Amino acid sequence: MEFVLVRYPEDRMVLVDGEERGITNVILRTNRGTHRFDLGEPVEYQPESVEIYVGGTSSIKPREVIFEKV
Amino acid sequence: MKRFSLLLAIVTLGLSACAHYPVNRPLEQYDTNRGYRFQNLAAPNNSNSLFVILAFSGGGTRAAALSYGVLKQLKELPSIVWEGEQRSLLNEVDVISSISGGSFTAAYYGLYGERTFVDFKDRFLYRDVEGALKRKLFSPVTWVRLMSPTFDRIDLAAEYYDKEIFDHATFGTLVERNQRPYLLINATDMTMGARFEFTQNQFDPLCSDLTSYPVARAVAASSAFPVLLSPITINNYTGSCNFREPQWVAYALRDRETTSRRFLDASLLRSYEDAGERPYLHLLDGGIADNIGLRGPLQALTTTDSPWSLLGMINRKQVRKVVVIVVNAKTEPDSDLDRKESSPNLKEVLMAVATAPMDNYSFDTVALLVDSINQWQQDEKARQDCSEVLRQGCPGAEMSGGPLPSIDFYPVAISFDSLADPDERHFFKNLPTSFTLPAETVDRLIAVGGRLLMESPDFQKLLNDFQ
Repeated sequence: MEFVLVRYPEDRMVLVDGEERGITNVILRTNRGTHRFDLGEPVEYQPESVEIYVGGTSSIKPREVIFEKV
Repeated sequence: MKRFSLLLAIVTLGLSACAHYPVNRPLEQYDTNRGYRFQNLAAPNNSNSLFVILAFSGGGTRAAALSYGVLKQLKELPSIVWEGEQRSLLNEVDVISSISGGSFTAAYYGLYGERTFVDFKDRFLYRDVEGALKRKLFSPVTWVRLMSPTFDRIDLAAEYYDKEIFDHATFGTLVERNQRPYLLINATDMTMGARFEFTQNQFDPLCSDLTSYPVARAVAASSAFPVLLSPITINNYTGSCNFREPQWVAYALRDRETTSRRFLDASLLRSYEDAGERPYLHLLDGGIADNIGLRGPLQALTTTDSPWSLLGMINRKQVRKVVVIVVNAKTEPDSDLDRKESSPNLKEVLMAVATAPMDNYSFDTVALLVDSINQWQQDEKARQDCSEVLRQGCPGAEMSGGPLPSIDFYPVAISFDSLADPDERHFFKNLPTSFTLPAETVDRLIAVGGRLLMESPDFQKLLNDFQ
């Protein structure tokens, strides 16, 4: 199991590989491998999406993905 | 006489040419808002926050009766209180994943709900299904039909199930019924040796519409024990419906972590998109790939790739309790092989080859579920402990991201191994795998299914936690 923290100034849906799989600012669990992270609408954030390999994380040290409001 | 023989030959050939398995229909347009999918089923009397999964193993009528006993016990339980409301634990069942004999119970309950407790025993459990199928084989019309290369013994069995047990219901009937539990009727893709479930998500890459497909054929595929029954054939229309492959597939194939389940699942899905190589699929008994029906739920619990990712629902704080009840009708017939010096005969060797890998894999699958849950709890505890240490050193400090969404897990394993009485255990572990059992044996299986559930310490813990 891998752990990712998607940061954004507001509460938003987190899309993992195009599917609703988490919420912002709350640690989410996913499986090891490359994933694409997006936020739910409205699209007023950047970057548009983040594609990263998720591996070697822990519940104490999750991988952080940061989106900024534009 | 010669003319008569010629006429007979022509009629025979004509009849045999007419015999063809019912073909699964093409899908006109890929659309995730339609078809038999978890997210398309309503859940009026079912809370998402309490997520209940049942897994029914294979094992002929033995497995069907044992799993029926568990369902019946769930029905007879007093209401539980969840989120301030009185609820039936049976109505809280979200998913039933089933194999072979267990698929009869799962499909019947999925189609008919509470009616199952009125007529399923007479319509299936007490019935001499095996005898009825054998009698069909003695009909000359059947001989002629079986001469066709596109009609086989399994199609005969599926016709019988369709007419006598499932009233010609299709997956469209399940869509119209529009309620949980969501059924995962599992078969095995013969070429890939992989799990194949009868859901629209599985039929999407084939560009085939599951809606019009008879439930009986799915159950027949799930219980098509090799050699005794032939495989079920499915037509592959891939490339004709604008199917969009799930994003994770391309990532998994690019990562190429060949020892990961993700890579295997992605390779399998991609294989369906090759119409040139795979215009037809042949499906065998689900027990070949997973004889307890737990692999689909495990994928949902441990990945965000599953179409009904339970992990995703937990991440979104939609689920707080997860109950997984595994009903395993595995037997362990007495054997005197090791008392003899002589080498086991061919039948004995074949039986060992057919059953030992399945039993070992089933054991490992349940162990994997328990390990996954243990790991889950350790991860949660590690974060809690770290947070506490942080606060001790630096009062008021919080770890970024807050606590992990907290989940209570209840893995409940039902099997004859749990029976304390050696005579009783011996009786059940020596039952045959067939589609006919004496009514008295069926009744004992139903009773023991309910009793094993109530005697399970994990199930008792669940009931206590509701009080």
